[in-house]
Amino acid sequence: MPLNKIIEKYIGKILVFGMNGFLFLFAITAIFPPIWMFYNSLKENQEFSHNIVALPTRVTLENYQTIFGSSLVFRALFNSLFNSVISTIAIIGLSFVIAYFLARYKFPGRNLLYAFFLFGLLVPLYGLLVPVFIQFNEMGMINNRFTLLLPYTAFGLSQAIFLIEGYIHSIPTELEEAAYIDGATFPQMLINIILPICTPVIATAAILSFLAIWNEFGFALVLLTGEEYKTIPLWLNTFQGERTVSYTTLMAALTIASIPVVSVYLLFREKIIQGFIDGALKG
Amino acid sequence: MKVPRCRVKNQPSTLFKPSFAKLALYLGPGILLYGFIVFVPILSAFRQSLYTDLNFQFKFVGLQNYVRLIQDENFWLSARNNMIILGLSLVLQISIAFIAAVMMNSGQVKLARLYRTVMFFPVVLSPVVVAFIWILVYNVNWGLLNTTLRGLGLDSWAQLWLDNPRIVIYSITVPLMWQYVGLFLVIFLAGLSSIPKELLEAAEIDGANGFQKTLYITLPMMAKTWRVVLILAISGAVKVFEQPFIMTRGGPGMSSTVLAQYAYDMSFGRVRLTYGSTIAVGMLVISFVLIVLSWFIMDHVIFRGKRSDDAA
Repeated sequence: MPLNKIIEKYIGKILVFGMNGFLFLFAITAIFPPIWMFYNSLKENQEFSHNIVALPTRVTLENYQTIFGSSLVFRALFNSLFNSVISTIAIIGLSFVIAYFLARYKFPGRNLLYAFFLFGLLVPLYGLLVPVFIQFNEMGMINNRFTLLLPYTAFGLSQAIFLIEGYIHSIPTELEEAAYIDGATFPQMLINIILPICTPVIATAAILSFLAIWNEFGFALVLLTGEEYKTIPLWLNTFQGERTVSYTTLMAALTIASIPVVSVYLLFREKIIQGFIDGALKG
Repeated sequence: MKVPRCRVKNQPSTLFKPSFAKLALYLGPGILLYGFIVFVPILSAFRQSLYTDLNFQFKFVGLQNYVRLIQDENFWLSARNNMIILGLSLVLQISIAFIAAVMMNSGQVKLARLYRTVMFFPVVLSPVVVAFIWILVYNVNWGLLNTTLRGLGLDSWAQLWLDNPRIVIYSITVPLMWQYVGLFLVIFLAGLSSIPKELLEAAEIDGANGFQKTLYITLPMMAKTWRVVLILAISGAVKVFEQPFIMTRGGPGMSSTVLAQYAYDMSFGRVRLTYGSTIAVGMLVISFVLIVLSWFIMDHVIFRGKRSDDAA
């Protein structure tokens, strides 16, 4: 073999090795901090302050007992679940119908409507914190059980509409034709024909909405002034600067807050990743 | 009133012709809710910004708040912090994501699919959780970062990561990049996989090496992907709020205050809602200027005339 071929071969090998090394490091960097948080939540605080990196020598659930010893966590879990589930259902219901009309009909103002919802993908959400607060304050809608449902539903619409709209484009119109010939009414056709076909994309949109609402912090912070309706992120916020809570207990709280999100991710990772990609590319 | 005829795009579907009333019935609730939450507040914030509420006395002042905003050092300091975040995200986060995506797409990497799942994982975590994790990473005495540095014998590198006004904004940016680099990665991967293999093979036959292929085929073919990535980076950097809020409350001083936090502090800390609204309007304007500017640069400078349509 000529020398330059041999050199080329080795350079290629080194490149492949380097690439794998880089990606391996990247992956470790992404996953280690949350894992570190998790296994430290199973340590006693003393052991943690002794060695922050080592795995626990003795696994203890003490930190979790401390957290679950207070009713605050249950209230926060309930509030987050309440907001996430109801808003997600509302998002899906509203966006499915709007997406259908956007995908299938040309009506006056259709393009305007498209731009209207596109705006929601482009606007920096937290630029609206103060404006939304002022509006809710003026209307006396601050701090009640239903306060967050409105913004969470509204902010979720854009993404869901564009995901579902893209999917409906791929459905052949012959199906609606057949339904028409068989004498179906419009709502029947929508619910019995189109909705079942859209199940995959609706699942994606629902999962993404759920994740976003479960994690949302800013609007909850501004619109909820009392203790009663605090969501999980607000509950976590109370640990900030709290000297009486040990670090291992804090990590247990963080783990509890992340369990729903992590489980959903493990179950639906491909759907979630694809949903994020489609949502971004539509925008 | 003229009943709008719902003309057909794909013929048969419009056998069902909803009347205008039906249309309004179906679309109305969503549009109303969305308008009420997204558009009405922007308008009412603009109206508020024309008033002053000093000592809780409302007075119309016209555009005075905007004059003040333009001269407000703290506003520009916060905007500068957003710009630092955007700059680092454009330079570091996006290049890391792009390089990793090209590597994973090369077919030379085992476990590419597993890597993708792992690298995307932080995206779904709550920003609040991420902020807390990084508080622990940055802890001066025993944090993961300082411990690692000391372990490597780099004691002098160990720092007050969150209490040093000179570096705190960078310390805040790292968790942001850590969390969202995976999002850019999967978008690049999707863009890369939409490039026809034949094109790359043809270039290879013509003697192009990997670097040349990336530069002359991959990059220009991904115009749309880049557009999306730019918008995500811009709106992401402008809306940053949770991480600095949890990690430093914008401090020390104002060294890690971003626009959203400044508007928040002004409105709720100092209870100056009118000026807080002015800041919010300023923030929206800045982000739209940035987005339009980036589109302009993409269209007229980088991808001049090459409006390739890579897959959506």
